Amino acid sequence: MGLGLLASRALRPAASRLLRDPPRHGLARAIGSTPERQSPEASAAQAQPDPAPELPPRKPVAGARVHLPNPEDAIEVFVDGYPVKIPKGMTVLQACEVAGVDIPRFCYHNRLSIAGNCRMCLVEVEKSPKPVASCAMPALPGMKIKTDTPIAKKAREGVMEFLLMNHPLDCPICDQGGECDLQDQSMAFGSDRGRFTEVKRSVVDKNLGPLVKTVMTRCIQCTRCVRFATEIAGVQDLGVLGRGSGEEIGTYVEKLMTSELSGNVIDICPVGALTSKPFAFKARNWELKGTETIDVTDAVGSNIRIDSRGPEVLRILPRLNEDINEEWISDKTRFCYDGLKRQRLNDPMIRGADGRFQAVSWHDALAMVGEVIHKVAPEEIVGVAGKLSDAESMMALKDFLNRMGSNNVMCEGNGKHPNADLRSGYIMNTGIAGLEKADVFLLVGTQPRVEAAMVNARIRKTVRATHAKVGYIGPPTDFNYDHEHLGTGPQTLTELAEGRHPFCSTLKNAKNPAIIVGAGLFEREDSDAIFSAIETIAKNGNVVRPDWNGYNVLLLHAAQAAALDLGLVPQSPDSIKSAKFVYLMGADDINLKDIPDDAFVVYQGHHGDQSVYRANVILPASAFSEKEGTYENTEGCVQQTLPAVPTVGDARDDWKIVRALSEVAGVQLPYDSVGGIRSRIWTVAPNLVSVDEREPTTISTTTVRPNTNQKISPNDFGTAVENFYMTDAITRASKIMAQCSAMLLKK
Amino acid sequence: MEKTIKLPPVKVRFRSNRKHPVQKARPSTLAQNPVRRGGVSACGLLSALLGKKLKLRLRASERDFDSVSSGVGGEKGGGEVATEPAMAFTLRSVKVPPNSASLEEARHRVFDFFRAACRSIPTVMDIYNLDDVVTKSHLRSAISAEIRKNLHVTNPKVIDMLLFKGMEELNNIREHAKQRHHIIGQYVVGNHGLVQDLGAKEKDMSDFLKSFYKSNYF
Repeated sequence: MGLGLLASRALRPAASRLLRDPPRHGLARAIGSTPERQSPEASAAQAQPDPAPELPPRKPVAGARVHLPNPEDAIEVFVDGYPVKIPKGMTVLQACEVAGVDIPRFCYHNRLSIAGNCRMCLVEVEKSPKPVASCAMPALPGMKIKTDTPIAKKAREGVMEFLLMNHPLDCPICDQGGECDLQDQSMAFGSDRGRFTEVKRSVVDKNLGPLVKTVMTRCIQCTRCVRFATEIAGVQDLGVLGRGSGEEIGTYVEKLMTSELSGNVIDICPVGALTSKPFAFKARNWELKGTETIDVTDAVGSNIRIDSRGPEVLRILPRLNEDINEEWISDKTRFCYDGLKRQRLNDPMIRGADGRFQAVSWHDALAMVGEVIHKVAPEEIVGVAGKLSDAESMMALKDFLNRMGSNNVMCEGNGKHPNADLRSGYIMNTGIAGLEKADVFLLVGTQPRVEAAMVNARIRKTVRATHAKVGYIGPPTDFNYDHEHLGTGPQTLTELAEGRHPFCSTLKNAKNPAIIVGAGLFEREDSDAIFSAIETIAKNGNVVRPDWNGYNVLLLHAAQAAALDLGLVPQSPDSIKSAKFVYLMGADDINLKDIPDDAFVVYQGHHGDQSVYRANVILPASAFSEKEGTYENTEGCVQQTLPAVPTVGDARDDWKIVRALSEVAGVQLPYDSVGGIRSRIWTVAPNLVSVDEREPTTISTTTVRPNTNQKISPNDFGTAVENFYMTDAITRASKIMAQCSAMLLKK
Repeated sequence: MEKTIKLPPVKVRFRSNRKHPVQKARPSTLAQNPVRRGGVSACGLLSALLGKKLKLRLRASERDFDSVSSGVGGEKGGGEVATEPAMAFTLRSVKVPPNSASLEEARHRVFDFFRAACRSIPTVMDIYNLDDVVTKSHLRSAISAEIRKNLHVTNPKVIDMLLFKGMEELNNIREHAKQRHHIIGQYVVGNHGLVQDLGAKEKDMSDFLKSFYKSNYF
């Protein structure tokens, strides 16, 4: 809630009322003790004869639209005399929002349960003896709500005074300063003087781990963080202790907050009690430049805002996207940014005869690569795109190597036999938001909590709301919702496929069953057999219907979906073992032992990570925060990153490097601009060009996937992500992520 | 040598602009410095005896260089360096000579300047540690290239002004008022940067590749 908005809200109605009704008692109604205040009925009675005011129709707050499921359930209430139609069950506060009145609040948050304990949202309701807390009061038909009467204002002012009574006056050294709800609302609704002269209370700070800094004296006990932890994050770590002036938020015992979503309590805390530890005392929010971009540390593609000052990324905040991440992001997304400043490659380098790298000019580096690539046979050239690659660079790499005569271009994480022919076989067909409609989940070889924390939050939301059943096949793992561990490996899968397992009946009886398959299974030798077993289960359980597609693959990396869309499929699966020239485009997680010793390895990327040790030439590229790139997330939604900060050193954008190299190597690619390369992408995968849109699949794999004669191996499913906090080059370079994995990982 | 080394003149001009108020203040600052009087009087004498100036002035300026090259802690200026204000420090050995009477005289002065600059090359290479990056002859040709850049100037007044700026730059260099990378950047590498060996290949490069070598942003 912006200060300007609040201030204008506080001022405007007062002015209009002064113009509208003539002074009834000969004196203007000021905030103070007047007879009406003593008896609200009197004022209500007096307000009755007011003629219907000609209010201009107001728009709902933030342009929200009211969806009336069935019109007969709609009720009409009057907010400041303006009639609004709302569905039954809405609260008074929501009704006011529909009417375009933003009620000040601290404890109310529309994604959390209602607590009603801050009392800031008090409004006057006709025929009610006292002001009511609008966030907790359901709106009733014909209710006359008044939001800017003296009673409401006096009530807010009083609440504000009580809140500020024990709030320290340390705004100048508070990290929340400038984006603090308490600061804004005390400016808009608070009194201009205080009467409090006693000693303020103080509270001992709690240690919540390396991510969240606490200054508990600033806490106003709104309990948003407690409700977030129990409801959304699903950890019972935070709670309210004590009563009255001894009330405190804290962990019951000396314990860190071990949730993968813990960073979100920083955002929901209306004051500076919970702030970001890595961001502490780094910057003020008004110094920062916000860039609306997306996250690439997992396959969800959470919408984020990168706040930067000059060339430095200072923090990452979530952006609202109801279809993907709602308004939360995982800790990895939020705190990986310090990895962008460490271990960066900033100059092209060539490994000399002595085994040491020497910085050279781009001209020399490209000339060397261009020379070497012509000395090897085309089939000995292999290209591997990394897990953070954008679609543009993967397109350029594929085009370049194809022009060199090689068709061995792959993307790490997609396995040896990726099935790129049927799009429904590798994306989340239900969609992340669509999971909320499911009533039975079958998780196969996936640990969504570490693989895609936002998808896991969505499953948890569904389980909490509808008590959906969750069955899980895979190694024992940590879930934050009720689940049934069906088995650890393919054996259980076979039982399910053959209908011998008790969970089959649950699947059959479900209205909207959803099967979620982990992309870690792509790496298995028997992946085809396993996927056909899963499809048998899907067929038996009627998972794929015209109105519901519950067959989902949960990918692991940001590049995977786009790579499969672009057809980055190696011609021969083991080509890397006989390669003489390997082009690694940010690929750090391939098995480097597979590369023959005499192979010439080019590493193009932004971090000096694992593959650099094997590289002969390093071509420095820009990270996701520095370039404009297209990424497709696991549900097939195409989004773009935008450059927030300039590139480091002499680095270049990925696709530009490949394009320049192609010219040096004598096979010039026909595009010179992002527009050019996107139109090339359009000819290969048109869905990658329509940004911010989710292209659903048309054909289901369950009907057309070819039969396989592979045998399912009895080996149990593995864990795809060993360490949630360190999965790629950026997060492995991050100090904060290293601290997290040292302190927070469950041993 | 097709690609001559170009010295961006911006910095020098900026410095000479800044000098102006100091020049006006010179009599007073120098009056406080009895040791420096000799220099002033020599200069004043020169301006008075404009007719037979050349040799005498050359000697005066040479002596000046010597005093500088003998080091900041030399016996002449040793005591005052610490007490003198910073602005005056860089100015100490720069004087405004009287205008050249003719083009011929200006021409002579240019040669004098070139000689003076060439003589200071060993000192410069010494104090900036340039022995492993450049040769004396390269620096000499860099100086002559800088001078040749103004080949077209025929106005003696303009030549005088350029000479002043050159002298100022030279003094700054000799006084170690610059750092190693300034010298390397301006006179050793030149402003074409590190991309040196493009040569003939550049012609058949696409615009994309040319701008790719320059920067990421195009």
